[in-house]
Amino acid sequence: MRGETEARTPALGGRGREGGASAAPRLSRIGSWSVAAAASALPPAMLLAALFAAWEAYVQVSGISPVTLPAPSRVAEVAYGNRGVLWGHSVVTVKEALIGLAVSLAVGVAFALLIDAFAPARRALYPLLVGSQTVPIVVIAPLLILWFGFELTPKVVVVTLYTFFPVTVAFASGLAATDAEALVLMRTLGAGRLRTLRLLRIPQALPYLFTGLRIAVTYAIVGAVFAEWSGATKGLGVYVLLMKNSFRTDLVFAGIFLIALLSLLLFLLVGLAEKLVVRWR
Amino acid sequence: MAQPLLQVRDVSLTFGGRRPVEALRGVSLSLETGAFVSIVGPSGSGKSTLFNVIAGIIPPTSGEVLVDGESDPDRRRMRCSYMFQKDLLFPWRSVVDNAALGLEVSGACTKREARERARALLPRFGLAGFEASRPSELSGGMRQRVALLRTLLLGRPLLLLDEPFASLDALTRRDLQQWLRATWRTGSEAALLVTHDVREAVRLSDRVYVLSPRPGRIEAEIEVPRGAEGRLDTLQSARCEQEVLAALRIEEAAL
Repeated sequence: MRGETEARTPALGGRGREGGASAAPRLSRIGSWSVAAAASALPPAMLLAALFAAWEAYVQVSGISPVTLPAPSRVAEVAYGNRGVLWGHSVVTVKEALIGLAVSLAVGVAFALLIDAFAPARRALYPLLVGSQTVPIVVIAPLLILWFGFELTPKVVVVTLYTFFPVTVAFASGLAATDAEALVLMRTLGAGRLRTLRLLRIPQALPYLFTGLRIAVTYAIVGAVFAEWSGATKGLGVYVLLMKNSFRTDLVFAGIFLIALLSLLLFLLVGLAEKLVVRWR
Repeated sequence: MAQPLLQVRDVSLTFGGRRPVEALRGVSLSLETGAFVSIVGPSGSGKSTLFNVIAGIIPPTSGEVLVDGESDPDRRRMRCSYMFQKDLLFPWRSVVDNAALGLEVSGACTKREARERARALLPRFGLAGFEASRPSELSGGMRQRVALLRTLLLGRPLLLLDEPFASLDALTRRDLQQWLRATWRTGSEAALLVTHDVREAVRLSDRVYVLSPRPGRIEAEIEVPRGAEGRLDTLQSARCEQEVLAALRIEEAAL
């Protein structure tokens, strides 16, 4: 229903002060956003380049063994040389992270709605959810391997354990933050609980949900890598572990950078999704 | 005169809790069909509380409210349309979808019909060409007009206006007052306005009630004499304002 009105351009584009706000700026929003994103990416990129330069210089001057500390140029070189292998492992890890995130989103939203709807649920569930975050996943991960095997399931479980909490908390607090007067408005209009939830509270909680998702994605790849580290046949986690055991420090670094890069990409992807869904901000 | 559309009979309200607050004491007023009536009072005189009682949102401690002969709060609520100081437009909805919200929620018609009916009235509300705009793209005055359209579209007999222009600049406010005087009968049969702006009350109303500071009581009732087509001459208007101010000031002196 929203899409329909979105697509329609106003009949009188140039009328009044505010009349200029037609379809054109809306279409270019993603464009201008990417320009702004590129501009904001410049300072960190420069800092990173400076750090790499210092690192490179140190390795060249000190003549340190590449097994102890490889130069960034060497890491880039071996990463490029092993791109096929790295890609294969990345696909596995990203898949685990995305499935885990999807489960977290579903579980988090469901928990938040439950917490919001029933005070007893809030009292019973909240302490348990907080408790679940204090359980050391290092200890659980091997058990999960024991229960679910070396395939996808234990990885998804670990990623979900890492990421459902921020989603739940953020969405629940978003639902709780509904404007009190807007609630009175819905009452005077004759809206029941479900209608109020659907038409007012869920839409206004969406920005909160995305805040939770942003936090969640930064844990997702790391969670998947960690789960692989505990036992897997494929994925960046096993790859880094194997390379470490065969003293290929340069490839360990290649894996680390790739993990960081993938996390960053996922983070940007959530930002983009937010721009598309929460268009009123 | 026929039975008044709204009758408030000896309504008192005390909020409970450890330190009970007496918000309203023995308030009685009535509003006949076709009338525009204002309640003027200082901040904290329980004006908004009185509205919430009338609209069936807060039950009174004692007394009775009849809207269109109905005393049941739920039925009363369905006979009142309520406009707030904040426009409370939903930023994720377009202008037309915001205006249609009330109709959509009330279930009186389909979503499509609701939007059609809202769209048809946009020109009258000075919103032609803005149907697909977001609230954030509108000025404060336009936003309040969308909110009023949302309210009036419900077609409920009693229009409750809770300081609808308080957050607007003086020029826009004046503009909207005149416009409201001409527009409010599209959809509603009687209007009750709460304000602390004496001039606004006199300019818009047929009658002004003065509410005292907490606990709110009706301090005075001032008829605003209007000529043909509701015209009000400057002298009369000034005299009424004086009367309202006097009623308010006496209250201040009594403090």
